[in-house]
Amino acid sequence: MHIPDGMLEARTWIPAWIGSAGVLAYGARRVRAMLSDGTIVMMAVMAALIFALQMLNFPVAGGTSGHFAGGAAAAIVLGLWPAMLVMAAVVAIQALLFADGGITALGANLFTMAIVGPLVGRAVYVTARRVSSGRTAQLAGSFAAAWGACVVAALAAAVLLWLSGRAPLGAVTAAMGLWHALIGIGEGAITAGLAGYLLAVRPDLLADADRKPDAAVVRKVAIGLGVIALVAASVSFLASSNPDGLEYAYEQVGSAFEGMTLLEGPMPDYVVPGIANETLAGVLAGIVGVVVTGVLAYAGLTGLRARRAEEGQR
Amino acid sequence: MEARNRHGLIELHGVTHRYPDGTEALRGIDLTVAEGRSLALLGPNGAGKSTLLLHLNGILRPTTGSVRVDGAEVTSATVREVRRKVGLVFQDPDDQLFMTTLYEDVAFGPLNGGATPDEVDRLVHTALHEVGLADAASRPGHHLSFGQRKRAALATVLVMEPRVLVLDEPTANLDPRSRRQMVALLASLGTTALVATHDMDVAWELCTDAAVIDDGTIVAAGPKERILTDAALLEAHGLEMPWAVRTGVADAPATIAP
Amino acid sequence: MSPRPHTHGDPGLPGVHREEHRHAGQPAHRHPHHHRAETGTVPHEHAHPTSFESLTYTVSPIHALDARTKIVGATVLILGVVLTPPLRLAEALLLAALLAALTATARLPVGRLVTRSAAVLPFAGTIALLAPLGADGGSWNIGGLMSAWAGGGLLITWGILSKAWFSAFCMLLVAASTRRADLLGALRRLKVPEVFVMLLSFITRYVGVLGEQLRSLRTAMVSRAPTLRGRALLRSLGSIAGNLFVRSYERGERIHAAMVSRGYTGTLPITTRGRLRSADILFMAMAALSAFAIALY
Repeated sequence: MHIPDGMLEARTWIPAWIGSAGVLAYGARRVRAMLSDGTIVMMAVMAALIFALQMLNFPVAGGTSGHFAGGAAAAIVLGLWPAMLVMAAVVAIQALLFADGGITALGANLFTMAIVGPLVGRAVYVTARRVSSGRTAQLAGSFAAAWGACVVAALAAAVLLWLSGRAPLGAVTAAMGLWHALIGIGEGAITAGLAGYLLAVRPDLLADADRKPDAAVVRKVAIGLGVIALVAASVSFLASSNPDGLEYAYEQVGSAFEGMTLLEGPMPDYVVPGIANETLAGVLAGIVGVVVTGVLAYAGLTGLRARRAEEGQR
Repeated sequence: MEARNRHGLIELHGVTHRYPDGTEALRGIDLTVAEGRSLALLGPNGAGKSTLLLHLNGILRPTTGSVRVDGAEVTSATVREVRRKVGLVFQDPDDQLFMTTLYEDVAFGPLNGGATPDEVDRLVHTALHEVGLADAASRPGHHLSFGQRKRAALATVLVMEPRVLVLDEPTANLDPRSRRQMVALLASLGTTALVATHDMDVAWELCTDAAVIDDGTIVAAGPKERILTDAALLEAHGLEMPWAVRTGVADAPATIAP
Repeated sequence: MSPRPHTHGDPGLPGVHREEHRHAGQPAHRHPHHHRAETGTVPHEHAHPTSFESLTYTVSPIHALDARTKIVGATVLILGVVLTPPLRLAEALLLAALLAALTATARLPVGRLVTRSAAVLPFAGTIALLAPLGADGGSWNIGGLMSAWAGGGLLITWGILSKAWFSAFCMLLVAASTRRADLLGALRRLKVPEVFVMLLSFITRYVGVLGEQLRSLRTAMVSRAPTLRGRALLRSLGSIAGNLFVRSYERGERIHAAMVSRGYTGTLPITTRGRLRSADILFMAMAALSAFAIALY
């Protein structure tokens, strides 16, 4: 789901860049202040590990294969902020050295794979662990975390594409969602296998998830995701209740006169933009970007404060 | 050994170490390495060698007992000074070459020590020259062969001009040619050294003294002529005599046997 | 997470990218030291299957440029490409000529760069095919499809594909002409946060080491259970991942010990050298000019 350059409109990739860079720069500062030198070195080795593990591929369907992404796995074993930074480094290396995902699109790719993915993975896993700390619950939790991270990250990418006017929301979410629902099975199974191995061999490495502050993060994330969903819903409502003239006309008569459109197809608004609607969409996209990153930053902040307070007590 | 040298460069007294999970890796180690001597630390896998080595420059601290380097006890206050004096070379060179080029790896210590860029240039060049890698400075660690990486790891420590070298398995996994190069290189250095190894021939060739560690305790220590010729002792701890001793190439002084 | 088409050809192990078995014998090691090195040296590149690291040792005017110049130049050029409406033929030709000239100057294999940069096309293509549908109201029926293709849909598809491809090619030029250490140093000097540069630096340093371990684990698994499929395969892959995780964790501890032994106090000391020369200024000006030409033409 690496979005390449040239696919997103400036109204999408610029806010995504600013938002992701802000969240991650903040994360980098916090990690530096919060973690010991040794833990940061460990994190750096883990980044290399996640990147290496992405060589693990598995058949998905129809002769294609998916590869392990590791966002949820990183979030489960490293914690939220380190996982975000680790995934950000992995995504950045892919863009810089392998042209997987672009430069302008880097912000968007960081958002989906380095921010949304670990966030969802961590939230799901911690929730599962709170329900039960038994082995089965943890394995199921790891599976669900990785599957959820995979699917939600893909949906986030779909929404970014839709915000750029690249595809209708329904089609792009369906395409991305269904595909990654399949890939997510592989991702989930490998992540559960990893968690199972750790539970058997080094359960201490997973014990970190029992820390309290994560509960706060999870609550904030739940609220945040709710807000995002609400905003997204209202944006799409606004957009659909105010289509530009040609689209409106097409909706009204298109189904009845398909033959005519074959002859004189309406120019898509990509080429002849309905200015008013475009501007509106841009403004809205900006607002969504700000709200989303604001929520994320707030969620992260609160979690960190709590964690720091706890570490201070020791 | 202790009788001859009142003051060792490295002295361990009653050192025990218990890991957080309860494993007792060291159970009362007494060991001295005197200036100008080189000690082979021999023992089976899991005997506590690596744990012991990590005590010598303060990365691990004893649960009880004390470690002294050049007369000063290793504490938080002295640890930086201790690390300047004790150069620790890890078994896996990939653990020691963590930067993106060999130059950066070798320069790491001096730069942390506050050397100026010009000094660093000079030091790095000298150290790389010493290990025969002077033309490889700009290469990343993973572009070197394993033998070269072993020598590069040594250079990262030599550049700090330590008083005592602590080597963990300097010849492990080397092919015969690289092994010979490494032994020759180490022999040419002539510094005080503590060498943990499974390679009995290396112990025989390089060291003046030997100590056998098993199950967290030193079971024997003394001049190599005494320790490395004691077939029963070595056999009891999963070791064997050096090839040179077994074949009588060395004039093994049988009279020193206990 | 992104789908990758199966590559056909040598039947590699399922579960590990096939390409990675090929690059051991990759040609084009032009690093001058490789030939001087004594026997026993097998300089091998075992980073990522599609790593272009060996190419960065080529000697060329482009390779000699400051890494910052190349990063900034590529970014400016990509901005020019991305911020314009779909490229017109003249613009596309100009760009292609520019990139071809740069590739030739850098003495890089055009074929490999083109093939690798084409890897963006499957995903870009999928979305590019959806795009024209979205552009005029989103209809999956024949009428909608035909009208979209007739009315500028092709143009949108071309726009997405060409921009993605050109941009990817620009990035690959940077990746193939800049040594990893220089790239990281440039990022640091371009004010990328320290922690982040450290993560990037460790990735480039250790992905090969860990990838090698991963491969041995994978080979050991396949030689014991060659017919693993489905859930059992995935579970084994998970165990392999877990095994490697534990070993990497322990490696992390050892690396940190090695760093501390040499006076590490939390920052990687780097001597950044090299300053921008007139060639660098010229190159950036050229990139900016080209970007403007494309954007404003």
